[in-house]
Amino acid sequence: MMESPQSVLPLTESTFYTLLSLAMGSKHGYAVLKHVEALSEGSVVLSTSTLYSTLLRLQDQGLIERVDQAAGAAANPGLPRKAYALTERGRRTLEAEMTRLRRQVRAGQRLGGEFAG
Amino acid sequence: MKALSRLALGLFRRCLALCPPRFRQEYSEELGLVFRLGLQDAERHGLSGLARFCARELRDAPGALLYVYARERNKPYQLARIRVSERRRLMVTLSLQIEVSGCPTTCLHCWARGHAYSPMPVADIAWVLEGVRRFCDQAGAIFGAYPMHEVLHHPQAAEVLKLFKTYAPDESFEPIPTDGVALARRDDWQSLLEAAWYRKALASGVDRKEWTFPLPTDLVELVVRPDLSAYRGIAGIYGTSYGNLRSDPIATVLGRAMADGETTDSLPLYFSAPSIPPPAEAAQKVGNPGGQKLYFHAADVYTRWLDLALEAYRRY
Repeated sequence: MMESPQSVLPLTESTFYTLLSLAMGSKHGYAVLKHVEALSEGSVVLSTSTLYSTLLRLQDQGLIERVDQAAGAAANPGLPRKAYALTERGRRTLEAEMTRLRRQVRAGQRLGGEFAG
Repeated sequence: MKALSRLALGLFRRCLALCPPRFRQEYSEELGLVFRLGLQDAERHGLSGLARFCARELRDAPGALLYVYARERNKPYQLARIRVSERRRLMVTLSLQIEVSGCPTTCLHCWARGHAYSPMPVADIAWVLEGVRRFCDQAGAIFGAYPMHEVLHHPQAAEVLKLFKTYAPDESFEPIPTDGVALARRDDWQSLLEAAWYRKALASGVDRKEWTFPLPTDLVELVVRPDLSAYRGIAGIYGTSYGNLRSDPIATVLGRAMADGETTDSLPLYFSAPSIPPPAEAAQKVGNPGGQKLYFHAADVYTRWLDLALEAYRRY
């Protein structure tokens, strides 16, 4: 039985940024790697091994799926032929995580002072 | 710097060689490509960039390798569950049948369950299809899916047919069921036909109750009632190559696609058959069908069950 989106929360940083990257469109592995680095402003730099163990785990959890690259992209022999795309369940999980993070930030902001952001 | 790059690439290939064969077969090309792209990128940042890249990879590779092995061991979709018949050297195909439409007792398939039951929600059907598709992907098997019969009895029949079309757009199986009466009674019959990528129209005055037996061995053709006004001259055919089941090209290869051997909360009504039953056991289950909700069976079992279905039909 599929677990609910909440059951996989909280997400690790690498998982969060990977899902966030795929929420902006399907990508091949290397594009995910670079996009995660950019999205996190350099704070998350994935190794190939970490990237693929993350991608495997996310596939097993049904949060992403491995798909064939779009025809144009697949024509480039220098890029992987397989891409990764967010599933509906992945999208719901990402939304749940963002809600959770917003709630935490709001809690900090309510304290005011140096935590108000 | 080039020497360091070559060394890193060589080490990476050795690491890949340590991965489980199935993982290697599926991912090694892609992983190698991503690694090389990363390496080239790192080279552009000079020796320090390259060193950082290599250090990251060295740090993370052992953990990833362990993860891949753990995943292989725990994977619910084990190829071993697909038993190849050594005696006959066929296997071939395994099929998964799921009762999705519920049973209003108008069809002739109640022999499978023995009583009426409610239809499966579309979301659950999608869940099952996705599970089987993923199983096939991971097992290197060919995935096929088709709505078999009685789909018109499902309250969201058009959605069900569209769903199958999404998953298997090229399947040529005739999805309109044995029973045209259901179609005739529905207001949405046109959208249903459209959803079913209907290609055939058959005009015949044969009522299915007038069939004679034995049926042709190579084709079981069920003709529905064409004489109802709402039916508008279109009839449905359900055909299967009865004499050729062992090479049925559209049977779905499958094994265990859902939670291992357990009836799940999301599919409480549909299933519990953790393994492929031997023919004798399958026959027994047909005789006492109450608990049987979804079936895994090998081709020979399928043939036996079909025999029983036809016997039941004759009695009808």
